[in-house]
Amino acid sequence: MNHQSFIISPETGWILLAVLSALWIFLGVYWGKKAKNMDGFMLAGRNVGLAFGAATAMATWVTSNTTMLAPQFALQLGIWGMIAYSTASFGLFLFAPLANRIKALMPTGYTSGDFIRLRYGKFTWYVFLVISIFYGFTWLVSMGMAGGILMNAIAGIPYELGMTVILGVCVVYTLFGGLYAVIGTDFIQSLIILIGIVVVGVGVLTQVDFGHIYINVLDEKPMLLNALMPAAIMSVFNNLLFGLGEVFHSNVWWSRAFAMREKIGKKAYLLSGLFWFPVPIAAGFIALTSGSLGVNITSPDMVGPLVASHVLGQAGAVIVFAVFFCSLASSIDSLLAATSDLITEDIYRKMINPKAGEKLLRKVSAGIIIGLGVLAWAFCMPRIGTLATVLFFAGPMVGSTIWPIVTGLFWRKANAKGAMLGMILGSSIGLVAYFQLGWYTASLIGAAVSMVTVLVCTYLFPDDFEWNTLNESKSQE
Amino acid sequence: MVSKLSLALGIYCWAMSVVQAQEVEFVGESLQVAPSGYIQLDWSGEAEFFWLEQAKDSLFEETKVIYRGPDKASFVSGLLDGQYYYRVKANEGEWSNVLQVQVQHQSLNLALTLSGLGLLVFSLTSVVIIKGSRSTPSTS
Amino acid sequence: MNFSELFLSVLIGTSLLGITVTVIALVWLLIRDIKSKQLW
Repeated sequence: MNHQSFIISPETGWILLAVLSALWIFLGVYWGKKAKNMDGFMLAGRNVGLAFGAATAMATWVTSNTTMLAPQFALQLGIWGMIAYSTASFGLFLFAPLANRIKALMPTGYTSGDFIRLRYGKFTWYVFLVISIFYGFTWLVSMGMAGGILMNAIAGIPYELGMTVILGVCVVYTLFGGLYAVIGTDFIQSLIILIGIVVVGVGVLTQVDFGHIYINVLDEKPMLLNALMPAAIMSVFNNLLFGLGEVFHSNVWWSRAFAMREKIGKKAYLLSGLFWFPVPIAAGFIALTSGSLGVNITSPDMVGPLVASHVLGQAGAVIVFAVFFCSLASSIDSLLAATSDLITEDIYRKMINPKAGEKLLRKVSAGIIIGLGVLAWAFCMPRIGTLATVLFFAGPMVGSTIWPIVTGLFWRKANAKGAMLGMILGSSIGLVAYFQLGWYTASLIGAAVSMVTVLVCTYLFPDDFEWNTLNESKSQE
Repeated sequence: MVSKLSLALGIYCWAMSVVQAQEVEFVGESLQVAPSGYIQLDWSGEAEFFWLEQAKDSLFEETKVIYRGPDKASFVSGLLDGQYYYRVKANEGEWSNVLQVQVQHQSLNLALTLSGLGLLVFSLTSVVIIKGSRSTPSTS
Repeated sequence: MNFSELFLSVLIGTSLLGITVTVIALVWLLIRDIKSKQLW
């Protein structure tokens, strides 16, 4: 990548980085004052309204994977690739009814792990925690790497430094502000991301006309316009199910469901899905213009930044820089908060020290946020693999959690055997598909295998679950 | 013993200099398969300016310049089924080795079957959620 | 079988428009939540 000329000077890059970092840290500390107890720190007081609720769900789902990977999808898999990416919003749509259900069943719950433990018992819970933490951590690492790569490509800031600053800033403001800071900054970050994408999209269209772009793609990359491109068709449902699995199992989304005020959850998640849907299409589209703009793509994951900065020049590159910084930060902060909640609540409080008081928990949680940041940093340093491969490795695993979660929330008969076997079989057979057929089939196969397993087990060993068990405040009384 | 070693070393150095003399070369195997019609081309060599060509035949009778500039990589995508040949050179230098790319998209039947499966899983999941959220009373 | 130019232009146009509407909607929701003191 060192043979690319940088889009903005390192000085401008550093200034931008400093201004944005200072803003997030200031807001984190400011909002952090609201967090007076553990409910405040972990769940923003369980009283988040619609505006913040919808914005935070959307912003978290707009990751560097949307702003970088959606263009990559478009470049590799064409129009279907773009649409395939957008189907990830179905994860948010279908989580909407779940959010209300979760809040009603578990008014005092903290994490998705709490649910699995109460619903399916210890062993399934262990399997779930392994999947969930692996996924959260992979996502975190891929985001940190993306940060370093972007800062390097756009401003010539050395990879190691850029990555360190991004991770460091997110750790600091999450540490001070907890979920309050995460949700509040998410709102501002969503606005910056959305406005930036529109500016870039409109900017591209003012430079080349649409017919020209279309004919260029038809000439140079004909398969991208083909409605029957096999790999692209396969990726549609794979991506959809990947998204479903990600949202359903991940504590990032559960903690938001717990954090939102009663009856807000459903609306907020529906809105966020609707808000998110056009983002990958608008972001992906600019990749298709690379040919007619004469931009050489040195590596597919760089197509977004390369085209955007080519079109918008200096001033525009500043916007692009801000958009990427925000999309990274809005996901990194959520992952830090949600994963540390999962480890604090599920591993520390439930397995190691059940009698821990609020003060101690808060300290443990802070330690875990720092620890996660440092560990992710260590993994990011060597800069391995392309973004997609690293993250898609988690695809079959999260795909296999869909059915255990959904049936666990709605069916009394769903049982631990089915959930555990579903996750194990789904993950392993999905991984086989990953290597045998390609990454664009892995989540799909994982989800399908897990579904069949859950259905068979529900039929063979029906449970009769008492829903009140899920409400820990009631069962302890 | 020592003379044998120095001879081997001499041959090695000579071989290395020959490799370096050939200025520009593709990185990786010279025959590659691209099952989804995209491939990343990387090349080595030191120059201010490179010239990358693509052809449908190995003799490069009908060529298309796909990149001119300072980068040492180019990502090609959207290729239809078939054979593609690439070569690259620096400024006015010699052409590099030829890279052959075989594009054969996966079977459409497999793709449609998998999509059908995906649609089934997705629909059943939606049914469970929608039915569940309607019929189950809230616990309060 | 190719996607048509019209389809593509409608897809992109709607997306850009949709995102613009989202920005307006988010700001409106924020103001509404602040006014009714239901922000968090």
